[in-house]
Amino acid sequence: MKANGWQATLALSPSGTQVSESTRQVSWTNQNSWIADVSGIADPGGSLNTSITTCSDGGAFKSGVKAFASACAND
Amino acid sequence: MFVTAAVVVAATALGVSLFGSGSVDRPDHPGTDLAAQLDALRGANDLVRAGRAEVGRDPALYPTAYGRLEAALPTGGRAGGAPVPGIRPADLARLVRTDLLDTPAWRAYYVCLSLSVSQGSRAADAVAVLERAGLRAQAEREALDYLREPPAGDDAVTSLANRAAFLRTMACLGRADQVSPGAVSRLAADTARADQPVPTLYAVEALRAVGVQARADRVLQHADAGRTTADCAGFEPIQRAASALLGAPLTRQTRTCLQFALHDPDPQTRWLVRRALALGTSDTSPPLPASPVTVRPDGLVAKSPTQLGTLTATYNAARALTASGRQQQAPVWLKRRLKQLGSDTGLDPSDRLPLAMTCHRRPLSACGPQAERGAEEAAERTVPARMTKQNQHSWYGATAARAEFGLGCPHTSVEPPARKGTALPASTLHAVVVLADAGCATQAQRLTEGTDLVRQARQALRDGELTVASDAVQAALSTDQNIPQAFWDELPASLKPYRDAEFPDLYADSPGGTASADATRAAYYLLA
Repeated sequence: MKANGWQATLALSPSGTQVSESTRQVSWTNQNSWIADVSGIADPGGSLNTSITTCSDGGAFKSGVKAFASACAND
Repeated sequence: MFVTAAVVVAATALGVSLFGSGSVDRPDHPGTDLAAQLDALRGANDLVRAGRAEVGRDPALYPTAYGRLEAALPTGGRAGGAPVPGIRPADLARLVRTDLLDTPAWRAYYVCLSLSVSQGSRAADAVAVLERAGLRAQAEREALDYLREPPAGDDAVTSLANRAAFLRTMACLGRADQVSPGAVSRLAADTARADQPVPTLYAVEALRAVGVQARADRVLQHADAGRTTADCAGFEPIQRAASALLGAPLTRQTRTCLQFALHDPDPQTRWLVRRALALGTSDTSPPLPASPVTVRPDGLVAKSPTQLGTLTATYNAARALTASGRQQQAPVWLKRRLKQLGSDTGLDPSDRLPLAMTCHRRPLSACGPQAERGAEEAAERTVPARMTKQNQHSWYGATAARAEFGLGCPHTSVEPPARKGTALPASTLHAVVVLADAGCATQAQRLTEGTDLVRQARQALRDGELTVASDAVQAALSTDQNIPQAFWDELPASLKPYRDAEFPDLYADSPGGTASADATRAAYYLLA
């Protein structure tokens, strides 16, 4: 995806398996960019057919512009 | 070996539904357009999405800040934009607490921008929101520290962008007096030297908020270069807009380039572009098109995430294609993507198995070495000895892998559930189907004893539960329960309400809903 000139690759595990109940935040500053994987909420019914939405939000500075991008998938 | 196994297992899996209850008369060739309509489930990563509905459209600070600013701008000759719905402090504070992407000072900046377009907003409002979120002190400390001593690792324009935002934040919080005069002077000097219009514009505006007139010398000296760039792509629209807002001449070429960006997906870009296009307009100027932003009634703005597909949903789509006898027609974009993943050495190990299972369903079955590794790993994967509520996801995944690759019934047990009446819970039915697929006929038989699965399937269809109905029928077929011809005759009519209104060869989990890969797989297993 592209956000104000910043070409971001926000990757979610294609199988959507890497989801935790809590919110994970991974930051790194060496490239002025960072990313946060935000977990979704599992269906509390607990059936095998649970649906989990996983989103990954990212930010970066590009030429002094703070950009934002987001990507989501359901499992 | 791999190719041979693929053919055998696919035939076995379909055999369950085709030969389980003797001779039946099934509807002819359902799903003529299934393969083409899978385009409606195509994710931005060229995998199949779990559902056609957009997911993740939740409010976030960035779209709320810039979306509100954009919505408040005048359109055409009008003096002011439509009133922007106010935000309750509690709602904004909750967003500040939960949107963890940015540091406290940046979150405070977005709060200030969001509230700047609320009528009668005061510094106290932003302070109250940050206090409520428990972030005020942290945000102020971070902003002051950065302004005093910008980190050496940040390049000049990034440093300028941070300091501009943080000075504006301190002013918005009524704490500009805490910023040292030296930090303000340094910012003004750096603003004059900076070569990128956007951070320069924000710095000029932040300095103006604290009573300092800064100059954008270097940006304006270089404005000619941007102006004469005939190619719109040669200069980012957001930078072009900021350059105009700093006073660079707004030529016809610049206007044309900015017009193209009015529907840019980024709200910050659109906000600056609309501001720039409003320069020099009069009451007689043609109005700008309406802004695409939607401010929710609670004043927040949702993000518009890129919609990605998953391998799990792709596997379900592959199963639907197989069940409808259309595995040869998998969309080109999907075949290409699976092949690419198959040779991607960076593929996460947990993705190898679903990739292998999906590729196993395809006629070419040659996705590449990663899929082959996944198939080998399926055999090494242990199915837990008992399925429990805690491990049911991993239990299901491991058992489904054994079923897919024809590895035989695993040593595992599923406890008979506590039932209400004679119907089986959905999770047990799902487990029965995968156990039967894996060759665990005895267990499947034991778990379904005493359950009239056809009755349960009919009830599920009436109750709006397509996947449960499909599982009940698969379970009936695999345990040799008799399915009357009348049931098959009724099926097309029973499934009709589940067809996606726009893409009728795709199916929804419940009547009137939008398509999902899971429900589409379930439907074609019923229609197979």
